[in-house]
Amino acid sequence: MSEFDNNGFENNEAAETVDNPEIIETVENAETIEPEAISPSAADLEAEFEKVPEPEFTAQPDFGTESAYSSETQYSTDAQSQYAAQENEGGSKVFAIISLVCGIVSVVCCCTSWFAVIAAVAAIVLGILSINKEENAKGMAIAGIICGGVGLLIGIIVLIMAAAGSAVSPDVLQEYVEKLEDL
Amino acid sequence: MKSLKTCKSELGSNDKVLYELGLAALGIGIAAVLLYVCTGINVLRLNYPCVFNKVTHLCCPGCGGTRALRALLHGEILKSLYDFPPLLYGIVVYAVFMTRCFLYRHFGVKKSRDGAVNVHIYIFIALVFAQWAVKLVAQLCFGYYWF
Repeated sequence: MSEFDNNGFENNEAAETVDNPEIIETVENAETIEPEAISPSAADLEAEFEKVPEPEFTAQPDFGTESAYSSETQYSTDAQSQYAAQENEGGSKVFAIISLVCGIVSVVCCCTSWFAVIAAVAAIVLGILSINKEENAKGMAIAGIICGGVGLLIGIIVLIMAAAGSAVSPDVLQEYVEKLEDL
Repeated sequence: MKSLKTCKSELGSNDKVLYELGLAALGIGIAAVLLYVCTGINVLRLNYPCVFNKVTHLCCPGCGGTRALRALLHGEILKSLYDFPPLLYGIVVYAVFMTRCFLYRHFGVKKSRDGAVNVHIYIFIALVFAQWAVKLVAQLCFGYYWF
């Protein structure tokens, strides 16, 4: 008789367990315990666990055949942005430059007082416009306004004195007329 | 002889405006030359009297400019410097600027940064006022007439 004849138990232990009436009664009266629910409901899951944030979409670099093209466009974009930055840094100075040139002309050509006055007025007006509208052009605009102011002052002095008739003699006008006739 | 590679480049905003004004001035000069060649009218010989000088008996800031230009065209550089010193400086700056802009624009030859010529314009203005002050002082204080 093997030692495992009593349903796998050793002889002595198996005999004592089966024959004891108290144990048999306990087993018969034992309540059936229903197993706990293994899968919790969705509401329980949400309550217990935090929501995992959705991962942010990140553009993956394209390592395909377009890499060379993308590097070229990147280079050209950088060059364009650098040129644009330089352009923006310099800014449009059209009014300031023209104001400065008109101011120089009004100062140098103040011999012809009417022409100097026109150029001076243009220099002052453009200089003021440049200061208001254009960035990084203040220096040139101020220089144009100053030169225009000097030219305007000289022109006005000449015109006032000529209008007063105290200094301009008819000979000057005669000389002008003769020069025009020579043409 | 190595040929220049045509590589067009764009000028900056500052140099572009000055370059176009320079081309306009060059056009006026060419027109004056053509006028002289075709009709014989020499605009430098017109010699309009200076109204400021006639009225105040003082020299104006541009006094001597026409005489200086005439002397320069005849090759008399010292006389040109004596009559109107800023003229020679202005012509040199103008020639260098226009040449460099032309080479940069059409052949991509390296040039200075945009707006670098502005300092020379300021120097020209300062020379104009400085020579005017010298002439006034010489006339009023020492009785020396520059013209």
